Amino acid sequence: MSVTESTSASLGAASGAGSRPNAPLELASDATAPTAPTGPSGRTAQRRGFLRSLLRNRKATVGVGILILFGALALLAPLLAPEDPTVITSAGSQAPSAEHLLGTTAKGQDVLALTLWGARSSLAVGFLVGIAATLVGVTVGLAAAYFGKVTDDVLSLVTNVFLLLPGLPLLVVLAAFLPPGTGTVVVVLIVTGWAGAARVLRSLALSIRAKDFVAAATVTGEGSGWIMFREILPNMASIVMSTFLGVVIFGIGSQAGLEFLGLGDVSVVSWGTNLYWASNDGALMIGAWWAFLPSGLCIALVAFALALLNYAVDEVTNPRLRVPRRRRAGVHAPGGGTVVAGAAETGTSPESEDGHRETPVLEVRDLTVEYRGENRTVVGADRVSFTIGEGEVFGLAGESGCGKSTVAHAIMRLLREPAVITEGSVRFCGRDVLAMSDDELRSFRWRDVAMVFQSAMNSLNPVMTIGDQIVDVFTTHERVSRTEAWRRAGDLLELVKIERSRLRSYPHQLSGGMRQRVVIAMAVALRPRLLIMDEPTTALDVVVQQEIIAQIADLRRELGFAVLFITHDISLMIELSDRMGVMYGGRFVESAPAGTILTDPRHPYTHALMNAFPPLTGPRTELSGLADGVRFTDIGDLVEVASGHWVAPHDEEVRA
Amino acid sequence: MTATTDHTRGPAGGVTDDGTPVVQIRGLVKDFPVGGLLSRRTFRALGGVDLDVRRGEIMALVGESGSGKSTIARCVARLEQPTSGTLRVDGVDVLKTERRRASRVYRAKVQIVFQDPFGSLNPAHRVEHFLARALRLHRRATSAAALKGRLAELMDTVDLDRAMLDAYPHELSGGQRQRVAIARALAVEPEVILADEPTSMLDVSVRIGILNLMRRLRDERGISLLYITHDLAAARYVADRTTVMFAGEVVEAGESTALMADPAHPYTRLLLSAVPDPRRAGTFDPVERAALRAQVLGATTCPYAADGQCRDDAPAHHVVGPGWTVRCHLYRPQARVARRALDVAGTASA
Amino acid sequence: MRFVLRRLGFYLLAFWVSVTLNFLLPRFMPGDPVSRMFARSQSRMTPEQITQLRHLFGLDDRPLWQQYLDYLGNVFTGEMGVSISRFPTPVVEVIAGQIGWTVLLGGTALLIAVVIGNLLGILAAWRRGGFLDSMLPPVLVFVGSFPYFWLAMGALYLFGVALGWFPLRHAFSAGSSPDWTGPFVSDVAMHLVLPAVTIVVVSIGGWMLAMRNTMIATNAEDYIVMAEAKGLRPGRIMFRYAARNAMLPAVTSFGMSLGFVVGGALLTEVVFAYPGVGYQLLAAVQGLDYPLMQGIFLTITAAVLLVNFLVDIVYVRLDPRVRVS
Repeated sequence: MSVTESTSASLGAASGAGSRPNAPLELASDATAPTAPTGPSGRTAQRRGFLRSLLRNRKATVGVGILILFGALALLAPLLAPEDPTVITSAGSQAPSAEHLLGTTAKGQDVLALTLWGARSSLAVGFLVGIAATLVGVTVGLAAAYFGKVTDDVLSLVTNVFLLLPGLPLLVVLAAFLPPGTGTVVVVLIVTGWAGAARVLRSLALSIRAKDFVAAATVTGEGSGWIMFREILPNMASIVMSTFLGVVIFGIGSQAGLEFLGLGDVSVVSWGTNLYWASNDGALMIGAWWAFLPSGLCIALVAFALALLNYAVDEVTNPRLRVPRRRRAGVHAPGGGTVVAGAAETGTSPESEDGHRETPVLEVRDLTVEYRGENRTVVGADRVSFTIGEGEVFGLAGESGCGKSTVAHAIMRLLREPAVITEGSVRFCGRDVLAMSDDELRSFRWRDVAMVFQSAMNSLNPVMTIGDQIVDVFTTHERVSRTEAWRRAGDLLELVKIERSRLRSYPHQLSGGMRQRVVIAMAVALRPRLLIMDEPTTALDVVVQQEIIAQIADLRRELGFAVLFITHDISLMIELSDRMGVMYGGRFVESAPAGTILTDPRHPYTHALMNAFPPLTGPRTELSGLADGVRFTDIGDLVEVASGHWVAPHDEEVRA
Repeated sequence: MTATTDHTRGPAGGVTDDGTPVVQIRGLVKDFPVGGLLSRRTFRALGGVDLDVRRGEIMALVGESGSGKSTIARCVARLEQPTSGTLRVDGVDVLKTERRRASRVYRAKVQIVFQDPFGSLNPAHRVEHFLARALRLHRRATSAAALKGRLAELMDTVDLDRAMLDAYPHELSGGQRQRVAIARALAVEPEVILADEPTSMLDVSVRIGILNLMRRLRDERGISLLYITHDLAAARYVADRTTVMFAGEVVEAGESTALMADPAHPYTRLLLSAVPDPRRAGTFDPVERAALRAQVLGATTCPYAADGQCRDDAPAHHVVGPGWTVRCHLYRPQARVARRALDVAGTASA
Repeated sequence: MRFVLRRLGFYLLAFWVSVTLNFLLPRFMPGDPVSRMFARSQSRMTPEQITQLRHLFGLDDRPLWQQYLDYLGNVFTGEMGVSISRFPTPVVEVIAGQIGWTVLLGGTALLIAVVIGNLLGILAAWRRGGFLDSMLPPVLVFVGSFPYFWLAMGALYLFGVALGWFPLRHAFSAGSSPDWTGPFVSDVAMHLVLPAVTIVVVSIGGWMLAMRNTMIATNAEDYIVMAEAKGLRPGRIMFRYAARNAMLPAVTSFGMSLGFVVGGALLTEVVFAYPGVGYQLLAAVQGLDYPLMQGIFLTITAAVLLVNFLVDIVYVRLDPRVRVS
């Protein structure tokens, strides 16, 4: 396997959504890590990394560029237009000319000078409001989140009330009662603008407050101040920034609005008052567009720059939002799976010479899946081959990131970009799955192969009754009436020992075990010949797990389907499967009948997996696992060491 | 390996072992409020728990999710305020002496390791920060040189490369992060470490390494551990004694191997029967499991539920062996007959 | 049900806050604005009206708490005094005559922006990297960066003054009287186009991007993968599974952004001299007509709160998870 290319692409995060096979997450991060991490979740965005990625973002670059330009213009206004911009310099309403580049107002003031000087007030007010409102927001947010209980109740109530009061009318009323002036505008904008910031920052601070590292700091003996400002606050940086940008946009826009209405101090030069005078003088009615265009355009450009920066922050914190580049080679249709044209059956594998008598239900040969990032490609599954016979239970063991879910998703062509099947074949009862058209694929799915996902809670649509979700299967695949479909859905529930009346329940109304039964019932609805179970019991307690497993065994006895069973729990797998394969780093390291793995595991990695589940009987002996940081690289093809027992060559064990 | 507890070594604090448990919990009750601001409804997470952790032992606390085992850890770590009950650490009734917040002295005695090493290390700080803060706050290293030495020592103890002190958490694997979390707990030289499912979020191949580290801490440093887990096999592997919880109550407690070889409480038996263990295949037949399940989860079929005994009269802990208690009316002296009847129904006992 | 009652309580509280704010403002603001108003308009009023207004603004010598109780009573009985700029029409009548136009303008614009914006967002998220996903958002963000009133003036100049396609001001042509005849309705529609389009153009980008971002998150959910695995048709997955769930945050943000839309409508009304409450609010401010100003503010607040409450009720229908808790 080859995963040691350089650069720390954000590829992992881009692909690591939901239950998607997350192989590349871990693989991708090894470039930045001193040793290879193989953890269950993605990386958290780092502050330094955050700023660096932000500056690499094109939207951010444009935004920062525009802001710097306007900042410079505002600072240099006294140099560029040394005279008082309100002074009447020549005749009114002149069109742009060499003397007055942007023309003059109805009174005869130079529009360019007004615009330049206007930037000073508008930007100052905007950023002042932004800073003040964000500070209030951070304080309220941190206090509410950290102290919780009554403090939080009161603060969030006040915040929500302020948020609901319509901003501009409130501004107008406040401005009407207060003496006019720029100070009034600033105060009024802070009063109406802080609540939005506080709401966002409070919910963020709350979620950080609930993290274990805050509890850990408490247990270490840190005080409240330290925890709030040194533990919680640093993790809010990106959102504080985007909140700040949002408030600045609000500030500049609302200031312009207020001043346009004549509610500010109309003698101050700002973009808003420029527009007020342009409108007051009826500039547009006489066609003097130059009096009106520059200030508005400036407001729009600054707001646009801030908004761009804001979206860039969003994209960097959540890379999924980025617009993907379209790839010529791949065929991408939503739900269609991605297969590179020309993925062909190449090479041979030990499993293919296994000598199965009849056509196997599933034959996977040399399946290779790549996660193609912008900077590099990571192999999620590497020349994986195996077959599953009629009614057989085949287990796929390995830990997170080993590629077992990638294989499962590839079989049903559920992979999404950036995952691409680049090589190999998947045959179901002899039919080439990778060559199916969209329509063929749709009818193949669920009718021939169905899948049970790890988390039943997440795999059921939360806003549809489970009845409707089962009925969907029947009405899509079979020409049946809704009543008939509903009746059959009820039968299915009874098959997994759930009352019919539960059809009208929503997923959240069922217990975890019941939900997984519903998903299993749904999976066998069309009597598929193969059921893929991707860690179906991992999220459940052992007692419930045992019941689900028993349920699956019952259904198998009744319906006779084959199973591809995926789990990291090797003792569960040995109990359940006929044959099994152990995966590591996208490759098979061992494949044998389950009993053989129990009594005679050959690969050191298989040993380590077995040792993770100490026995419940017999003497307690010291077991050893894989030391942190131990990795196997360049795993070779499987070699048959005994009949039906294949092992990858494994003499070297590399410490990274 | 040896399963016996090393009683001769005193813990780091220099307190000699006089037989009092390091942690002694009596009648611990925790209610959580349910609903909004004005709601008075509560949910009882712990319904009067008794639990001891002796000096230099690993006590496993097993139960399913929602059984309240993590709540116990959070109460002992003083992250939650118990509703009632007593908590004695080194014989001191800490809920009385430090009513609101735990003192730093307490923090130096009791440390916790959380389940999720991705959540328990602040992504904004380097590894060194976590350890150095703990050392400084508790004055375990006063000079720069001493600090450096202690940092290196801690990294060695948890088998981490010293170079990793400069790493950010996201640069480490799950197993490595959990070792950092353990090092942070060790930095204050505690007497007890509460380990709240420290391996459940880790990749399976490195789990055993963390369990072995816990054993080493006990054997070499005499640290007591309360090991919270849902994994009975791991509990049996690492713990001297095991306490089983169900729905906020302790149902059974005893020496680990004995308890798992012949569980007394129906719930313990149900739990054990559900653990997949290919080496034991075939011991539990479905009929017996169904009976156990009905007994435990459907209270109506419990032979004692019919006359409302469990409801009216909470069962007491009955001693069924040396250091072995069970909380079920089936074990009242006059109920032995009924218990035997059950044993006949299911010929469990590995 | 509990949820709905809790929300109702919250909105009542919010309304109470704004009423109290309204009560306190004229009494505690520096510069004694109310006296200025009296100085300017006292001559036109009858003694009773003066007394009533003094009462309303706390210029008599009753203790504050009593003033406050009276004020609350007045608000809830719809007794908000007489307008000064449109003397002697009662405030309530002035508002009643104009709120319809605001509802027409704001409602039309909001409806169009929400429906089109969300549809665009759904489609953009569904076909990632397509035209809707890559080209449209920056354009809409740019357009959305313009101040409402500036775009409104631009549209007025371009399509009203320069091209002469649409009328310049007011909600209907001078001289025609409101009725339900064809010509009048089409006249109103013509007057509605420019202001409504302005609001739609400025606000649509926000709706689209919000929907796109939630849809992208939703598309990564397990139940979407499961729906794909079930072999459902893409259209059904997109609407019934993805959009149906992505809609929930959109509904909540709808209520939250209502205040902004009202603000935008206010500015647009001013530019087009559209005879709604926004336009009237500005007129009241300029004419130092404090009773009318306060009445309009309270009315707008009440309307925003009411719509938010309705949105909450809709939300309960849409998300079964809220129904139980």
